[in-house]
Amino acid sequence: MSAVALSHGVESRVFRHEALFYADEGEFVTAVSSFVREGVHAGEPVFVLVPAPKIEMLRWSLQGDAANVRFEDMTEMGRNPGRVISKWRDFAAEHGSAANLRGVGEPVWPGRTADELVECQRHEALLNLAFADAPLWLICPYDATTLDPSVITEATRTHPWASEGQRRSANAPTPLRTHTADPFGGALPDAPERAAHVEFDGDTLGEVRSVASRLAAEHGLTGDAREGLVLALNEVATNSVRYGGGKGEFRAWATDNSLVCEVRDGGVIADPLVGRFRPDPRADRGFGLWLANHLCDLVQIRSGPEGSVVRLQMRLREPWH
Amino acid sequence: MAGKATTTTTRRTAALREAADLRLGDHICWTYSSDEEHRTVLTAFVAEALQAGQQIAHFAPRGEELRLVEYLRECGVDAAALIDEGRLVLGSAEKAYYPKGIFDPEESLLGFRAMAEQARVDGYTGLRVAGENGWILADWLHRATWPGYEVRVDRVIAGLPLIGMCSFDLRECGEQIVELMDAVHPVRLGNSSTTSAFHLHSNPDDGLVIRGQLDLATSQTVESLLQSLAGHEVISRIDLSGLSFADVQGMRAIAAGARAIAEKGGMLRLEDPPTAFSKAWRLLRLDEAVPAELVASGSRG
Repeated sequence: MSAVALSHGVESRVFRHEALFYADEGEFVTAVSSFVREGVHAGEPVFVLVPAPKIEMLRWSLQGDAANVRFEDMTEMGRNPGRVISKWRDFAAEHGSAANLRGVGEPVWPGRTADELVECQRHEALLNLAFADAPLWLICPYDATTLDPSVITEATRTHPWASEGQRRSANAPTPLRTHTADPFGGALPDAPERAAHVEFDGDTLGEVRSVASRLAAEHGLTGDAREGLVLALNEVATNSVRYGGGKGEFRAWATDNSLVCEVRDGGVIADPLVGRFRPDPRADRGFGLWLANHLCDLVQIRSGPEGSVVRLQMRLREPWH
Repeated sequence: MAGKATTTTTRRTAALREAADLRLGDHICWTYSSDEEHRTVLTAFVAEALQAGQQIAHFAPRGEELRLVEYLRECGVDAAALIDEGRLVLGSAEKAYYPKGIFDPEESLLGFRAMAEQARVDGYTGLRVAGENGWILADWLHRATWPGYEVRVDRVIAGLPLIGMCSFDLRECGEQIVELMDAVHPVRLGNSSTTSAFHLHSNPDDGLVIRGQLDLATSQTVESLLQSLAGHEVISRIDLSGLSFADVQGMRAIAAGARAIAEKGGMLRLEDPPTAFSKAWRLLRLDEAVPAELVASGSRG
């Protein structure tokens, strides 16, 4: 429907969120280049957010057309998938509401940690909610050869459209049924016994900060990463004091790859897109979780009638190297 | 307005155990908890002034104006002669702060300024003022405006040959008041362990200093202080090199202060903020929304 409208080049498109399953790099490059080139030739703004090595391949394939495409390394920008919707929103905002836009986003790649993978999948589902009315055609490439089959199955659930690399240009993509999973549902595994533990309220946020800062230093997190984690944690704990019953519980521990800071409180988080839209600098609230997403390597939110838990992770080493 | 100084000096900040080696420019929050302590510190304060060739003014609550005279007599100092000479000025705090029957900060600031300038004209090396202010803060009406006034007094002290010591009787003042007063004085004197998590005071050259930690407990106070200053004073820079932490609310307090300051015309320089402050400031696009410039001089690690 929207593809037909597009071929006339007049009507504005609605959000089209499409998974692209590719078998190898050749398929990736062929399918993505042709999608990108179509956009460039139609005068549409195109933003490609994929891992850095793939940017090089695409530039080479697109040649002169690459100059009209915006690229960004997903492994940096999207290391926390919680940041990515905000990035797409910025892209859409920069080009006004009338223009047709194209995007390529590859948030999932082999080597993502189990926690990251779950958050990537929640991110993919939330895209459908965040961009319901945006004139954006977003293609999400998935490496069908290397990724676990369960990841591919999940991708067919989070994308209303899907296509396969070699047939993409010939066949119309298949519309799928997406699931509208509760974005904060499901439990996180318990914190380990050895975790540092502080019960806090509005007068003891400093203690939360100093415990986190000390632990971060012990695990080798330096200036920028440590300060960023402490700031993000403080905002999350402040939310507990302001909106989550006036107090909360803080726990922190290290895993093989990351330092984890957890805040639990009795509040309920209702907005499924909390922390995913850039706050207006003049607004009164909405800064904490957005900032946490941008300062931390991973943010996990779970919430239900019994309360909320927010976990912030900082990488201690790169998991896929 | 004073001419632009060519060198920038930073105010001294200190936590002192005794009233010794006070320097011109010191604005002191002195807390005491016994009459004995009151006597010891006040007499030392006067003795040091006499040695340094400074004029002394003491403002006591109504009915207690002669207490200092008693102290001095007991240690063999002829207070009457000092008063005759003009060397020692005794007054009531009510008169100093309420010259027209109501608290008028402008009038009061002008009074201090004029007194300090006159002291120089009269050949003194400077002026020392001790004021007993706790009773003022017992009045809730003044609790909201007094801290902002203290920072404005601090500006006068930063720019003139003045030492100002504000005293608070811990038997009368609650912890909250002591904390707040500690926040707005660069020098602390006394044994109380009650301290503020943040400090805000003046620097020369239209500067301010914010030190310590800004979070849920303190950001609102900082915002009120900045707002109350912005309406009256020229502020061109805030030294944040001693700021160890600021939450988003704290950044927004500074942002709101910058906007209020800009209404008087001028770009605010925020000097040496913490790394996370600069990063979050940019992420939240406060760099676009706020008339302030973040400047790193590299004094942070």
